[in-house]
Amino acid sequence: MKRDGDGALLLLVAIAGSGTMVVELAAVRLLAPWFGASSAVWTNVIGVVLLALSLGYLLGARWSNSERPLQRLGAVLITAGLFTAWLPFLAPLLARVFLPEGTTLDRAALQIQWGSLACSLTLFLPPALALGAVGPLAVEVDQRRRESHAGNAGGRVLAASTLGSLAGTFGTTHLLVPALGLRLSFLLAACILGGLGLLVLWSAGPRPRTAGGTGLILLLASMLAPPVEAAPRSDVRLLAERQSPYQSVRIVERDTAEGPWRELQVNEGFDSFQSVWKPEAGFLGKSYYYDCFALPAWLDERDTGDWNTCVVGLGTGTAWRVLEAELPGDMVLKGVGIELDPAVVELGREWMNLPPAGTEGRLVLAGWDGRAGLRFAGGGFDQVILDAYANQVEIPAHLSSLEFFREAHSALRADGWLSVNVGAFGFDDPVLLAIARTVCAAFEAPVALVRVPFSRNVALIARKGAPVLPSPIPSDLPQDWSQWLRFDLATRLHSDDSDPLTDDRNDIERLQRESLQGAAEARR
Amino acid sequence: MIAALLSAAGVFTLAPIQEAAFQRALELTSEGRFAAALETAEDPSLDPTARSQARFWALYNAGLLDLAQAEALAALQVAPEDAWLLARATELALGLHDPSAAEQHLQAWRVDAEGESSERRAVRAQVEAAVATDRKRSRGLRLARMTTLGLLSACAGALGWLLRSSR
Repeated sequence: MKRDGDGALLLLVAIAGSGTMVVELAAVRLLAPWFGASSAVWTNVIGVVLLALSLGYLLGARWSNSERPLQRLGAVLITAGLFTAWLPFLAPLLARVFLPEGTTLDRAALQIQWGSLACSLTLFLPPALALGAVGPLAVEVDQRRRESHAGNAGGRVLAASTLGSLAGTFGTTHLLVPALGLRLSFLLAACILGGLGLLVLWSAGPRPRTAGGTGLILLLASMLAPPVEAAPRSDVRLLAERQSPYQSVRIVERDTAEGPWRELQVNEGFDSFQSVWKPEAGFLGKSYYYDCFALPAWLDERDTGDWNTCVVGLGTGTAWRVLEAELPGDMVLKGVGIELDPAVVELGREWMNLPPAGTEGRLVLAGWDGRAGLRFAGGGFDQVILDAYANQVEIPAHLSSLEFFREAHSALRADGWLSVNVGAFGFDDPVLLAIARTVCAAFEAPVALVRVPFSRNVALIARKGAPVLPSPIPSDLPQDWSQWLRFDLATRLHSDDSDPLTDDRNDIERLQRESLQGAAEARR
Repeated sequence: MIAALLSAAGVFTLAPIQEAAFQRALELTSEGRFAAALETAEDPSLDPTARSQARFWALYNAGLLDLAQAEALAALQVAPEDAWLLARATELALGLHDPSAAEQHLQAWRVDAEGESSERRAVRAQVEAAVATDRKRSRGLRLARMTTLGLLSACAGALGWLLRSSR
């Protein structure tokens, strides 16, 4: 039984497995600036990679019948390296073909599904296919060397490949992309795959060396190509950009009559933003839903003391910037802010006046999931604000369930308030109705739905143990709210608590797709 | 004030009996009292065109753009050549990212005998840009579907062939 090079072969297989995960995980990040990183995009990428691997396994099996499977192995590794190296250059060009500049979020529901699938097939199928062929070829090489049973060789190769994939999974998310960025991550993976392929060919004789040399030249040439990146809209200036473990985030600035305004954009290929900042704290204007977060404080019976808030989905702190300047009377803002992405918090502190760590009365839980953070934050809040969005349009399922809203209910003081920002096209929007039913069920009371003018947002307000809208509506509310709350086309009480979303049964993502598609169909 | 401006621009030509209610609806709109404006628009002295215009103006200023668009369409059924309504409906459709509706309203918005107004020219430029962007979007979607179906078919064919030939 020959054992020469056994370890090297298994290491090679592990690295190829790792490369597959780099391609798969970084693929979503590569597409995210255009198509977001929603479950639809993830599904498309994973589906394409699985399809490619199936094809690769069959091709590898076919090539393993050749006289020199080791040479084939070298060739597929170089091919995988080449295709991987081109990904960061081709992706922006292709994405712009399928999702042209100027497409607005409310027109893009189908574009996101089909565009991300077409991009995934074009970009990720070739490298994943080549990487899929590595396994069967390695099994053949191993079996011939060791003269062992197919099951024995297959088990060893599968174990090495899966361990490599495991390392690639954690390494890509926690090390490669945050430290190197996307482009360098792909290029590093390409170099390693191509380099391994060259080594294999070099060890196989003079003719393969020529082919390997050609591959090396192509690989180097592809690395010299200039980077193509998702440019921000032409009316804004880019101030800062980060690749976080979760997403690509950027701060942009645009000129307005009130001076420069800044926006936090997350995986943005559209016209939306996640946080907004203006030089002076306070109301942003009627079309901004953030202003509605101040409404509960104005409807509350108190107008002195601390106003203790918990913001789930703090972003860079826009809700706090509004509240700290616009609370009634002598109220003072205190609170906990929960933000999943620490990079967002860092950028907020750097560019959007988010209070630094240690500021009295403000605790930022950076890197915390909203639900876990709310539990940690404690209770007795005057107001819980839910403004958590993933992928531009999606309220995460675990933050829109009956169980979550019951936890929010428990975290409030005896007659505290819940505010939810819901992206919705009017009162009949399926997402709004589902969340309203769920909050109704959790609070066992009607909720108020307040349309935000000139926008596609509705502010949902609920109150624990007291009517959500006082009767009569006070006549001294800011922002024309006194009129707005009496206007039945703008404000509605919702009391249906049937069929709430739960942790067990939550189809919020389907409802969100229906919402976008419904808005598009309404125009036809 | 608003009614006077709009009347001076030749937008509204109302019988005197209607003018008071119409004027009141516009004033209430400018004060941000939209519910009252809509109620006033139901005054029986107003004819259907004036009523729709007053309702539209209230909803448009309230920022309830989807409802304003529905009102504009209803108003245009009654007065399909009303230039003021067509101008607002076109702007509204652009604001709601609905270029095909904007294009339809623009086509119905006839050019005066004296030539195209500066307002229409400006709106036309925006509509043309929005329509061009939407065509690119439609082309992108078509291309994405064709690419997907083509590549998936090729993959299915390759899978079938490889499975058969590996027996």
